[in-house]
Amino acid sequence: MVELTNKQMRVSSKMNDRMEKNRVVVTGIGVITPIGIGVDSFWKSSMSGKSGISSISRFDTEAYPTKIAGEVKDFNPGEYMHEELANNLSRCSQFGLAAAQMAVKDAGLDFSRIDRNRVGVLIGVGIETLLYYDEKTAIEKNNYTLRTKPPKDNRNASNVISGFFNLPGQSLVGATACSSGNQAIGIARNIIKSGQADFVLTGGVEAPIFPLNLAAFCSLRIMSKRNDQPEKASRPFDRERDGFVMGEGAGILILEREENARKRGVHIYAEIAGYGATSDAFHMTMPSKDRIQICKSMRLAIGDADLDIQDIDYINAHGTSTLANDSGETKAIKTVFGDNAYKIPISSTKSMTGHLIGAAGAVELITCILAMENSIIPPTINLENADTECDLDYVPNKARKKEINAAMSNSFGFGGNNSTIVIKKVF
Amino acid sequence: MKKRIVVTGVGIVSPLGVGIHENWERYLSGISGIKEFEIEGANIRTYAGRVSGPELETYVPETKKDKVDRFASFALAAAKMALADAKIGEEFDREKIGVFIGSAYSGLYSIEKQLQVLYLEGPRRVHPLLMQNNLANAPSGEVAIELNLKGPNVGFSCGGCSGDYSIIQAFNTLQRHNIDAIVAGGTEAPLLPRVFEELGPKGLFQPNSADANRASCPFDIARKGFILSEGAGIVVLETLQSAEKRGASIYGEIIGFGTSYCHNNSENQKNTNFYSKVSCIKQALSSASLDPVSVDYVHASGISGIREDVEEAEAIKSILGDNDRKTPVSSTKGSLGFSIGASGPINIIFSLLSLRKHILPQTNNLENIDPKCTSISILKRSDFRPINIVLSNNFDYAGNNVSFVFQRF
Repeated sequence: MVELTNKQMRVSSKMNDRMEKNRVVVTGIGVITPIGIGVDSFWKSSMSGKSGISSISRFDTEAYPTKIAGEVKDFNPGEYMHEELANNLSRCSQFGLAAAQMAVKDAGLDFSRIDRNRVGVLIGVGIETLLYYDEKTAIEKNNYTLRTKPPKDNRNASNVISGFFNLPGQSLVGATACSSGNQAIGIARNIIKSGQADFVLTGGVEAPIFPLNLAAFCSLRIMSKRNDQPEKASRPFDRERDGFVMGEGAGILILEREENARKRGVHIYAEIAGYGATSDAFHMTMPSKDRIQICKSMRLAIGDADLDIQDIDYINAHGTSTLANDSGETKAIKTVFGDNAYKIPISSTKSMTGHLIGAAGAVELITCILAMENSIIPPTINLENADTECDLDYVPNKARKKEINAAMSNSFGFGGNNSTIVIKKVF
Repeated sequence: MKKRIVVTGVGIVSPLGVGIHENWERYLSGISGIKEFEIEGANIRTYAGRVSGPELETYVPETKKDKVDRFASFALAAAKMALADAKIGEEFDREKIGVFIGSAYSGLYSIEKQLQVLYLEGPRRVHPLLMQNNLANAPSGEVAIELNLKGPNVGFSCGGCSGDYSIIQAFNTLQRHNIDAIVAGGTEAPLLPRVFEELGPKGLFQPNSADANRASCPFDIARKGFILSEGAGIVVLETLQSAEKRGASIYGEIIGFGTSYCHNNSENQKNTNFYSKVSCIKQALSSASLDPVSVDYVHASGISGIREDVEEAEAIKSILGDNDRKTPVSSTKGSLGFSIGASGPINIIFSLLSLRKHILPQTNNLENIDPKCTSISILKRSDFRPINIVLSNNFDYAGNNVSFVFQRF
């Protein structure tokens, strides 16, 4: 008999009270980030506080104010797909397909033994069309050194994954810019809860380090220009932060009903317990000053999970390292959690990976899951002097041991959308 | 308990016109929105369905003119129309209305223009509005800002089913979340040289037809592929509870839908595209707990594709069978063309108008039915008949399929 702490009992009994039979759980994870490919490598780097940011190596950044990014250095598409397919796909789709294969393997899914019609694919991608043509054009114009053949398969990343595994179920991309990965997981959970699928491959993917995209973000003056110290550039909540740093990667999760997972006898990482989504309806690229809708997104997710604010043990912040986001998000967390805000460890793992745009929400939810699984919280690195407006516990620079029964991940995107997911430990 | 979801407002921007009645009346009188079209810069003449600028301008807010991408301007116009049609006014709680709009090509106009700027003038000349304007969720964001809608706000992309999937996820979201309505649909502005270049060699659409008025001719023996067009279709999905509480006029209820995806690779067995369409329609009917005989009318996808139209006709036949009722089928692509991500919601709107008005539109440009499509009963002339259940298909050329079943309310 496992002995449960009081808090575990509270969280667990709330789960029983709910009598909800179709709880949705995570049973497989695949991850590609600038600080590691695969769960083990990614987690080891997260624990040691490694930065994945370096000078951009794939095209000439001379004329760009920002010359740094989080590149995935050791990704070999040949490990995951035939050369011909790899040549046809964009880097984004290559990442998505590779991470999906990792997740499928991790979940012990054998598609030949289940009803493929009952498997959906819903992937979050923020800037899919622009990046496809950006990549294609850069290669055609010899302005990119990582590969020589331009991609020619412009199917959505979801269709690429469905096609590879021969899955006829729902297949779509969810796009909400920088929150795409988080939103996709919330919407995928709805698909399972509605009984339209038994499994959904979901998460986020983005390969945004291309010339036009970098120029577009630079023109908004929200990127870090700390080009001489790449590893110090992404510094959420720090007084000296000067903007976000773009990174590339993917996070794919396998969702299924708890009952189904138990029947299969596979490892259950966590329950996707709550999802909240709102819109500022204020401005396409600037957050609204009052943060009302960010607060509401968090409240909705906590309520959807049938939890109270004191039940949240860890928050993975959106924490982009821009001036506006970090102080605003801090303010919103204080509004929602009151005095409790000071007691909850919060970290922004974008300090290590950079901002993975459409993949960020998914990789950060995976971070929450691994933190819960290992009872240890990854740090916010480069936090040397906290901004006076950022006075919460951001787990600066060193990982910290803590038992976590419920965690929350925030993501906010251009277009004024806000998205929050709450996960719970499954006992 | 499952919430019942109904449609209370619709809005269309298409080559036939900007407005519900403009589209319906012009379609029924046999007018085509397909015109000769010169691909900019390529000096090639072809056919396409272009949205009329002056008609569109009356709907796009002054502050947004030339500030948003073309695909977002369509969505702004159609969403405004749909919300007004649903008679949703200031008294409706704005926090309880979401926006889900899909698109396959996103802001390709902005992307193409800024790619040129990048390579001719350098990165520092790239426009600061490029990021917000290119995004697949730009229409959802712009509509939310313009109409002050603070519920969930998402963009979707899935080829020619981008709009349909937005409606499916909106349906699911209304089921699971405490909101009352979602402005949902699709928008597309693909009339750019690059899209013609990409789709042309695949043999999907062949522009060398005899004349513009006959270029798109679903199920006709003379069809040579689909004709690309642009536009937007937006509906207001609302919980029945909310609609009844405010006494809204209801177009119809979503009682079922089905989806399928079939990647058309060489390893696939023969006819997988046909079976995939069958599976899609079957799921739609079974999720609605309906026998095939209950279907009164099929609003077909009928994109005027050489292979696609035959597959769809056979799929409809295999499910509805050769019953005595001769379930009528029609496609509106002859006048509308195929507007990729917007086509599904536009089909849905025509289906809902049929439910409301008891008029089944004819299949424009159908002169000689392809013998391979004669097993179904395709309407050459419009028909006045009371209908209760309509099946609305949207099947693209890349293997994405969605079918909806609507019931008269």
